[in-house]
Amino acid sequence: MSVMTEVSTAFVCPSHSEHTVSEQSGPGILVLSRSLQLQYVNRRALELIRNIGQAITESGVIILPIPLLELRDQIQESLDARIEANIWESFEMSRVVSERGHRLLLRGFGHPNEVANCDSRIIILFEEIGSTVKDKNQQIRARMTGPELQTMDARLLANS
Amino acid sequence: MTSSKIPPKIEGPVNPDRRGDTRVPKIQQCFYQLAQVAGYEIVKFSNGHALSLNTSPGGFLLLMPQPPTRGQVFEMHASLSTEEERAVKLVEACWTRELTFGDAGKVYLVGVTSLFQLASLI
Repeated sequence: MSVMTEVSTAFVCPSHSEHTVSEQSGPGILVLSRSLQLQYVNRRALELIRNIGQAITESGVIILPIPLLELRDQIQESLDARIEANIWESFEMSRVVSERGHRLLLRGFGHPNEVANCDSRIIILFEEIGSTVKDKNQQIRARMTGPELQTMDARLLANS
Repeated sequence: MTSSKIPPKIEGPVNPDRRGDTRVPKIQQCFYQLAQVAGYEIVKFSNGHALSLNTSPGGFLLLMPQPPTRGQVFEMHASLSTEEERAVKLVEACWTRELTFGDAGKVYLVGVTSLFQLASLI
């Protein structure tokens, strides 16, 4: 297929099924800078946050629930300590939040940047667990492909 | 559940905006999601389809119908080798270049670095 055809296909006739799949079944994602500036959030993250508490005020400001703030602060603290100690491996901290009948797995990643410390990032993934057969199948079939990740802490937090 | 992968760190090239490692031509359609945020306020969500033109361990070159701002973090979805699995990537826009391209009007070449990748079953 030529580049021209590819461009036409990509921009003019996008695959409806891909569009639908991408929006509905992807994980929720939140990206913060080391100084906790919000850099990216997707719709799915807001939807999942809304399930366990308030996500957005009427004026459009995002309100993060307390378990998420705690995880964020833990990661930031660990990120700062690691940068101070010249440890540059990425690490993961996770927790499960149960609220209003929904169970969310929050997976937080500290991503230190050796070249520019201020560009270090905190990435938090949201996944609803145990709610549908499809979710269960996904959990069983998932495979870890990041052996370089260091899992620092995995604890459960039941809020309800 | 999804599996995740932080891309390997690449030694910085002379020009920090350009990838110094070998690029492999690979044209692939992908789906992107952008979020304009100001502080903790969402200004705008947008999404669409883009083409990945080439790839390297540190990032890839995209052809997009709208330009992200320099340094903007956004999300890309692309199919992996197996039909049931797709990659969700977080990338950072390093540079953009406007092009006039046929009937599609203005399109944008966008050089991005990979921040994070996870594989997700469809």
